[in-house]
Amino acid sequence: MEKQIGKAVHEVLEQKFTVNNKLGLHARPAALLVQLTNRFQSDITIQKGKQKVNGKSIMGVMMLAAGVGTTVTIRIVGPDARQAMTEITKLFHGNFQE
Amino acid sequence: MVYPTVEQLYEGMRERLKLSLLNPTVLLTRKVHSGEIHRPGLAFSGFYDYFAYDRVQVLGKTEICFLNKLKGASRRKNLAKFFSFRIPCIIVAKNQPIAKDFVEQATAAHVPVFRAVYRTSICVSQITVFIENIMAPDTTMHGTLLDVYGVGTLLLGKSGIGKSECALELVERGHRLVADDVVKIKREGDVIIGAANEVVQHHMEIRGLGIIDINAIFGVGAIRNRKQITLTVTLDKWSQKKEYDRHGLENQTHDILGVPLPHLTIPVRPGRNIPILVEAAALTQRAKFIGHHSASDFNQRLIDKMKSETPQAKRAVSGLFD
Repeated sequence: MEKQIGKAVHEVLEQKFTVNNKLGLHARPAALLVQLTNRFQSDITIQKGKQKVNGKSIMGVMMLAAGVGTTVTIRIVGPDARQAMTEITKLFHGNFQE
Repeated sequence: MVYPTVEQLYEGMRERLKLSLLNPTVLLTRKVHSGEIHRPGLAFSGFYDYFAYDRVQVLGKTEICFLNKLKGASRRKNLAKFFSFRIPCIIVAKNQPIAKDFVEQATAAHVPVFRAVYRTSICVSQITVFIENIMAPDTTMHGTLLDVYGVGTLLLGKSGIGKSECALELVERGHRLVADDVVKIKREGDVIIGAANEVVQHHMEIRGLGIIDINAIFGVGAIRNRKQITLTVTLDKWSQKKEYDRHGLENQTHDILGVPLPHLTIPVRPGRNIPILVEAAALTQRAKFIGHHSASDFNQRLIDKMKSETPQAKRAVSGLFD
């Protein structure tokens, strides 16, 4: 899916991830995630159930309280969405270096 | 290591212990090599297999009594042996009289003999503290030291990053300045003490204002002479490329004279109110001292919440009602 905002082409990506690291998205993994997302220009949101938070805010990510086995949906809108998604996928699949 | 001379000891302790020099012809140039003192009772009795001669020799009531009993050939022999060592000085405690021949031999051996008014235990502890203080490892650091809510906070960072401006704002907010720009640092045991240089003391240089006297402007309530350093904060120019601590779970440290001290890096950029951040950092540190760790307490609550909500946990709970 692509979205035209002004002149720039903004890609919209969405993917589901299962939290598989030992303790869920607590402070350490959350910090790793926001340190990563803050490197990209794209808008990144994380959703768990009905709750949707800014993927660049550590307090937001921790508020989700996404424990082991929960599924979260990551939605990225922006010029570097593809790259951001690749990196985030790596982080989830690598169980946040735990 | 810096060893104090007997002269320094005399100057420093003269008032405190009410010292008087019994043989003023002797030079006070010998150095004291340890903060510990020695009570030479065994030496007087003729035991010299081990004799800590390079320390201050303190004669209490025991030594003086023994010395008065020591007569004849053994007295001559033992005292001759005693004064053959390079003793820095002798202090007679409790204002006791001392035998004339003892002082004469001391003079001949160039050993100063002092008499102190105070009792032995006070002499011992005061001398030890004084000498240890002079011998303590020290250094100077470029930074600003403040007492923020009772937490000795050392601001570090490159010149021009805004340490002095930050300190000025903190002083305005009621905290106390210890030293700006040059901080004299001493290690006393595992405690790191910071103080101001005597010349600069409580003066600050603020770009655009010049040198200002904190004592004259803000009063004595805004200054402190020395303070134990319990927190170090580095002010660092904000960079997009650098990654900053986001959760505060790790306890970072910064070594000063071999003692690790809690350390934080605060990125500086326009619009960030650094003094407020330093204030909050000091309070967080104080909370840690009394056993409340904001970041890890919060994280533990979060982990507990997630555990209670995992699918497995839910299954276990719902299983109870099946």
